[in-house]
Amino acid sequence: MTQRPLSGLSIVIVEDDYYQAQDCRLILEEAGAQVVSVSAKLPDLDRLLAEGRVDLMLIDINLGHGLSIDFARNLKARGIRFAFLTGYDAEMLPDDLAGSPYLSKPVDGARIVAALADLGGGAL
Amino acid sequence: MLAGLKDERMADFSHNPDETLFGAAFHALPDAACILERVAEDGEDTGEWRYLASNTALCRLLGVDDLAGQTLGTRFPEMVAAWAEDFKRVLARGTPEVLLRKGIRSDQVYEVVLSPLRHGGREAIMARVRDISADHLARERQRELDERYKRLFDAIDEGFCIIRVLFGDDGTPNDYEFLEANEAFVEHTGLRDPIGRSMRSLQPDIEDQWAATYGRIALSGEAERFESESLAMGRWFDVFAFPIGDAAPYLVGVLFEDVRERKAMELALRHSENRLQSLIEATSDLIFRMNPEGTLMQQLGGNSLLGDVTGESDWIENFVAPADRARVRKVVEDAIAGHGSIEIEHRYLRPDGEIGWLHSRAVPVFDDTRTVTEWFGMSTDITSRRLAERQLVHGAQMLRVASEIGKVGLWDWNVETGELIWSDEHYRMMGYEPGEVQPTVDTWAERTHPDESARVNAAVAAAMETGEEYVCEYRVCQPGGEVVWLSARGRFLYDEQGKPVRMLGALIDTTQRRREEEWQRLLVAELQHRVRNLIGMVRSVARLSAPSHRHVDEYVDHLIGRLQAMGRTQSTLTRSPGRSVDLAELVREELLVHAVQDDKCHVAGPEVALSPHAAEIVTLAIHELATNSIKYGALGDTGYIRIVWSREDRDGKPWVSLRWQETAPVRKTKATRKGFGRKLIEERVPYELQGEGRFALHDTGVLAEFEFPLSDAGSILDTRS
Repeated sequence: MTQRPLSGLSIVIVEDDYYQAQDCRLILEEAGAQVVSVSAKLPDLDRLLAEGRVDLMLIDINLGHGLSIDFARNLKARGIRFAFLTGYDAEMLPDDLAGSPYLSKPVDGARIVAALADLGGGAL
Repeated sequence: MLAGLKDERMADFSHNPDETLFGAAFHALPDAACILERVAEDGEDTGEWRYLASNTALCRLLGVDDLAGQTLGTRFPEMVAAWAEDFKRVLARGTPEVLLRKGIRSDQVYEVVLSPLRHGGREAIMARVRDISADHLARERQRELDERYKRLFDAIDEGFCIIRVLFGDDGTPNDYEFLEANEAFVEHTGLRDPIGRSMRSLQPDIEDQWAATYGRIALSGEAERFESESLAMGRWFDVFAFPIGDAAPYLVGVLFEDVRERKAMELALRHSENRLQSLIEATSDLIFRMNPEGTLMQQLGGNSLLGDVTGESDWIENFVAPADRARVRKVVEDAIAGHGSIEIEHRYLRPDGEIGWLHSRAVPVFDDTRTVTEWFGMSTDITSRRLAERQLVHGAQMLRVASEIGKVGLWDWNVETGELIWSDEHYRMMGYEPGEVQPTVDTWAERTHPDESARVNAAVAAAMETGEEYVCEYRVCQPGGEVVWLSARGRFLYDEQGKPVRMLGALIDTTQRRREEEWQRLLVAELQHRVRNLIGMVRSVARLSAPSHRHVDEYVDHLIGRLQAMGRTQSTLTRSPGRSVDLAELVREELLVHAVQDDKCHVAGPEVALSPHAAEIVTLAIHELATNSIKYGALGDTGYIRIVWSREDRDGKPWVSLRWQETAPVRKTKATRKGFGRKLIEERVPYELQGEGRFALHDTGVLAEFEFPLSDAGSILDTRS
């Protein structure tokens, strides 16, 4: 990868599958991002923000023991940009989140990077 | 007349009554008579009276000789007190008086006329005495008769009066005067105090006909009886008028009665009779009478259901269908015995030769002694009703069977009365035993899921409003807590004014269908999810597998082995969806796949159920360890493997702890890099299962340990994205 479109962006990954989470981390790091957290469960947002800047979040919708919908609403309310990553169809998203960026599995690295770059482009 | 006589002459006169003409006349009077004067001494009244003269009739009456010169006190001492006052009064007043006296010595009644006499300064009393006992008795009798007549008069209920008809100048009768009236008169006429007054003065607008009728009787002397209405008085009268007296114009006695009420009743009765007659003529029923024994019947009117039958006939023998005769006879006999009424439905022979059905009713008519004199009744042809009923029964049976076989609940709601009828299946769908409750809109609403009420009610209201079919699928909460889905279709029926009167509909239970649809939807979603997930995982596994292999063949072998292990987990899970996976089974199968001999391994541990997610990871871990061991360790040589696990409680949660321990004479290679299996145990287990994992390479072989909390067994739908 010659281009580093995510350079300088702090990204949090919430994905309950270990392999895919690691895969994403590699892809995003190769694209220049700083992956500040990879977790299988919903992180404590306040603590995460206290530890440092968070520009973007890549969130799996179904985390095995619960959905991340409410978490996403919280992000939206606090103005933190995020993209969904899921094996389900976009139809299952509730109406108020239907407009959120959305990546359907399986997804290749280029698309993840492009989607996050779009979101990050509007960042400070 | 005698006052001027001198004493001596008086004496002479008394001694010789025939001497003068007056004397002769005095003696010739048929009535007893005498003349008396006061006896005075020295100008003082002594209270004594002296007879100056007495005539022959008096002497005969008293049974004495001539009394002249004698005093009343000496002859009749008791008379002085009886008469003295009367004599004095008559003298004082100077006018005659007529007195009625009973005889002192007898029961005779006398009329006594006392006349004062004045002559030449002398005062005397002339008394004339007449025996009127016979007259008096007759009058007394008449008076009693009158009294009795008057009492009778007043005692009768009818009005009675005696009138004198008043004729006009042209001789036509135009009014009449009441001479007498009894007490009931007022009650029957409403006229008060009629005596001495004329009819027109009491009732000015009285019709002329009354005076005309009474005038006719007064002149003809012929009694008349008539009934007539007086609109002026607002009454009907039943009158008997008869002449009284000896010659025309007669008085008229009127005996009468106000029959207004009787007339009103007669009128009502006539109306009632007319109505009854109209009813009998108009009715489609046969009206009949029967003899007390119930054997002979006569048609009275109405519909000639039995054809042209006149006179009495044995109706059971002639008209009742043979098959029903015995039953009809029994009913009639029972009714006669019990003095009850007859009511029976039976077949009969119609005039057209067909068999029809009759509904016959009859009631007994009793006389004063409670003996049945006849029966009165009616029969209705109910052939078409019976037919309709039978068809209805068939239809209802078919509907019931169809709805039960088809599991369809039916309802019939009378919108006006609120009456609701449910089929048995409808009861069951609502969680009731058939007939357990009287269904109402409320019973139905109670079982409807609270979240659905508004929507269902809106759908019913819309269907009622528009006349379109009511279609609604909604949930019902049964008492056991079970929620079932019902699909309802119905339709309103309306009257001529477009008012909804009835709603009919059917229900089917769609719970199972919805469950299956939901299951199918989830399965499709899950399949889609898994396929996508699997591809993602394969991609990641392929990428992560790459760095540890220098040769492509080796890489491909490893990749295929891992994909096969993942595939085994998937097939285990789909084979028994919704179930957990037994750890011992999982381990043995994985060793079997790698052809590990029983004598080279020891597997031991308690029964542990793994969630699908944990099973996937453990399968892959055993696969990696086994592959590695075959290639480099104990399984590739004469070594031995112990695989043991245990359960334990950590902070109240069950954990499983598994150990893989190889014992081999010598290691072929010494891997230092963090390979796929090691990463799996040391990183993936903590990441995905929130557990711990250690991987160590000793001289004698690998020692791998991992432990994680046991979550509830997941199902096929326990998914991860």
